[in-house]
Amino acid sequence: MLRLFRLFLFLFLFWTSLWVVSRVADVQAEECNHEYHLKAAFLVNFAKFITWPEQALPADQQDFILCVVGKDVFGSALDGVESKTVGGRTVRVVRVKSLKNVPTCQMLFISPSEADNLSLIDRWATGGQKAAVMVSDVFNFIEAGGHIQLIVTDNRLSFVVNHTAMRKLGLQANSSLLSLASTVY
Amino acid sequence: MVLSGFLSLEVSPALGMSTGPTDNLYLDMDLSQLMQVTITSVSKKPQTLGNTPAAVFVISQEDIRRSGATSIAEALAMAPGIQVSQISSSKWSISSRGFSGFISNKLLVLIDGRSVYSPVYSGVFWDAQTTMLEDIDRIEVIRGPGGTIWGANAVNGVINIITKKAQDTQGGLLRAGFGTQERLQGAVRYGTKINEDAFARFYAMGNDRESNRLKESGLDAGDSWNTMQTGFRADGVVGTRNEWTLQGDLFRNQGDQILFPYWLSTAPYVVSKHTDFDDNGGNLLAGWQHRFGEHERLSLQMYYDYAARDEDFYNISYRTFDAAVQYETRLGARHDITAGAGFRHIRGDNEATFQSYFPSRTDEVFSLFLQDAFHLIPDRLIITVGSKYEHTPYTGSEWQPSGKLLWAPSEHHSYWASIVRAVRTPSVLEDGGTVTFSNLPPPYGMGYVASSGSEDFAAETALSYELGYRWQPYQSFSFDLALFYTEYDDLYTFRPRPSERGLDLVFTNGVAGHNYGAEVAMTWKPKSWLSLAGTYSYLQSSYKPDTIVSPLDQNISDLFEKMQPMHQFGLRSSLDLAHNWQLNAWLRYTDSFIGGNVTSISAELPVDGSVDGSADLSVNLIWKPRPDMECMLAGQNLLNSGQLYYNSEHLTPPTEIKRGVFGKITWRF
Repeated sequence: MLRLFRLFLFLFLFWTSLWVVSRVADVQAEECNHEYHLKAAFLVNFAKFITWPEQALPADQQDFILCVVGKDVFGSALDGVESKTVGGRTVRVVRVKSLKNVPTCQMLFISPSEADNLSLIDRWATGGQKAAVMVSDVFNFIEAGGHIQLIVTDNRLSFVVNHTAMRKLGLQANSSLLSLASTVY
Repeated sequence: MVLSGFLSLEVSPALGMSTGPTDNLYLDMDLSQLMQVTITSVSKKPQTLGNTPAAVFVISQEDIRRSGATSIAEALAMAPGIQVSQISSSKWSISSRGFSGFISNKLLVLIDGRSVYSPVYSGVFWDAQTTMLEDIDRIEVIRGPGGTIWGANAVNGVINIITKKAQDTQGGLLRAGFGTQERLQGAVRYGTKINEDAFARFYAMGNDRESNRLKESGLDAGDSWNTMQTGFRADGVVGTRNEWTLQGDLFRNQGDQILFPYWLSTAPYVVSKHTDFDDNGGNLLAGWQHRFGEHERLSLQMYYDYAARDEDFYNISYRTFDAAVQYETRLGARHDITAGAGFRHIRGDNEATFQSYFPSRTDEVFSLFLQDAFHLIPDRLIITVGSKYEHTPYTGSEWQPSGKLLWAPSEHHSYWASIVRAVRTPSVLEDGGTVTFSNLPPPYGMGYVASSGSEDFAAETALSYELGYRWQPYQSFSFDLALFYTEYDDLYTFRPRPSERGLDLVFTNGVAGHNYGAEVAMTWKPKSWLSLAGTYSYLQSSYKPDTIVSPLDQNISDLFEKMQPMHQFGLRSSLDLAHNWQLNAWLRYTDSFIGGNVTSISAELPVDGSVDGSADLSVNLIWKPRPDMECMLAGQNLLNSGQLYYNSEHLTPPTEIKRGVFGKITWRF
């Protein structure tokens, strides 16, 4: 009985000390989410190869608005994005909770948390002012009507472009973007 | 350029030099550069691992390559909590959380979902598992009961050996090598693209191994061993939602062995027999998977497996057909449901020898399982509850429920706790087989003594409580701790019963007890050119007979307490000397324990099964003269000219595993 008590006491102390050490270390810990660091860089690069219709991105607009819809999977990966420019415009990141309520933006990144609500993207697939490029890494995003789907092949990131859907909204992808895509519809 | 950016991200946090938000270095790259960056499996692995409420250790292909291991058995020693003790050149005792032995019956082993656990005596014939090591993607070692998902016999652990998909082994590979113990080795593999959506590979390989030496006499242990295996694997997709796989293997292994004690029906009654063995088999497996949506998936798998052994002790062959279906879906936003059903048909064709008798029988096993992972806080707090129901011909209905809790306060930490029940169903031997233990006539002995199976023998059960913690503050450092306390009931013992020929020792459920312990695994990559991995396992056991009918009851429960080492530790280091030179070292220590299984206790030749604590060092040097070529010079068992790792197994005289040196060249084209 005493042995069991000592064992539990030992476990408790060990556990607690581990927890304390790990909390302290946690403060200094870095977020090391390579995959989403990469994906963030892909988003900025995509924007450089796409032209928006005048109504959707007026010449006098100062900012390029990137909306991250759903759970923020990027964490610190988006931290440096706002120092970047796209066509002379400063990138602004707007985080939106769900697809149900998205403000006007030039690019939407739809997080995996919204996978079950993909039918809602039709709402944003109207042309004119609301024309936005929709990007996601959800596996059936292109089928659901999305524009650019990030995929992993051979342990590297690649992407599929649905140019037909983009053109319906007046969005024009540069030929060098299309040539890098693994598939273009 | 791309590479340096990638590495600096990985290394600087590890050194703790950078504080505050890091700049995303990828933002300065252009698209074509970005597409060259690999998303390492390292970043994926801990993520999935971190969300597993079980004691899991993953041995990667890279770990296997750098270890210099020449067999799956050897590679498994990298995992904590697993005892790998080589008995002879072709025989191993591999067990999880205690209960060692050639007949180690509480560990389930699957190769690409195909069970290689033999129904004959409940255990794995490791000498028949000769998968080409280069084909292995990873080995998932799960300690503790896995009955809820994997079913009966996963009492103390499950080993999942997962081979690479055909698309990951394109092009050719040639390997050739020779050495002192690893006399000859060779392998060839070729992978090709069938069409846009399908890939295939073919391989053939062989090994020839030198014999070791007997501990007592220092004479040749007559245990040389050679293996041959060939096979193929094809994988493909249909549209974006369907994936399929088709694979098959054929093998034939032959070797020499000394059987001791080898009982005869007439004088001189017992001899040490120099003989050989031959095992062969094959399998064909087909799998198909359909994704309905992000969280909804249906998988089917079927296989046929044939395995036969022909030797003086066993003469058995088994044909298994297995079909399984699994469905995963998400209910609402928070419930991940997994449901599965399985069917297995096993036919044994066995011949009796004076040594053993395993009834030829045909059995069918049905199973169903249901599991719900309830995300109380998505990705942070998950409760998993489930159970397997299995119907076996030996013991009827068996339930194996589990409850697990995972708490991940941040992506760097996760805590888990679980309570799981698991069962080990009786083997053919325990249900109705016979193994001769002794045949010394009076006055030297008691005449014919043999184990005797019994239809009354019920499943052994285990109820395990586990706690775990994982901490990965950086890519380059990880810490994993598992604590467990397991109660066992209905473990086997023998009850003597006079028979016409002499004495039967009848398998009876009659020992109960518990064990507890801790397992630690750490990896640390302090520099880009140095990685370290360490493991430590502690195990304490206590068993008692329910009643004492004969001295055997006490002897057996005493043996259960001592048949595993209390401490085990391992340390591996990998050093990149220059861009094309690597030096790898692996040191292992295993505490003393008593080898041998229960049969040795009841035999009339008393055997001292004690095995001293032993250290084992293997070192290898890898040179890559060209990107497509790799040369390795490796030394195994370097600390001693010969070392006893296991003792007094029922049939193999104590054998010292000899020091060995080998070289090999691998060429990819």
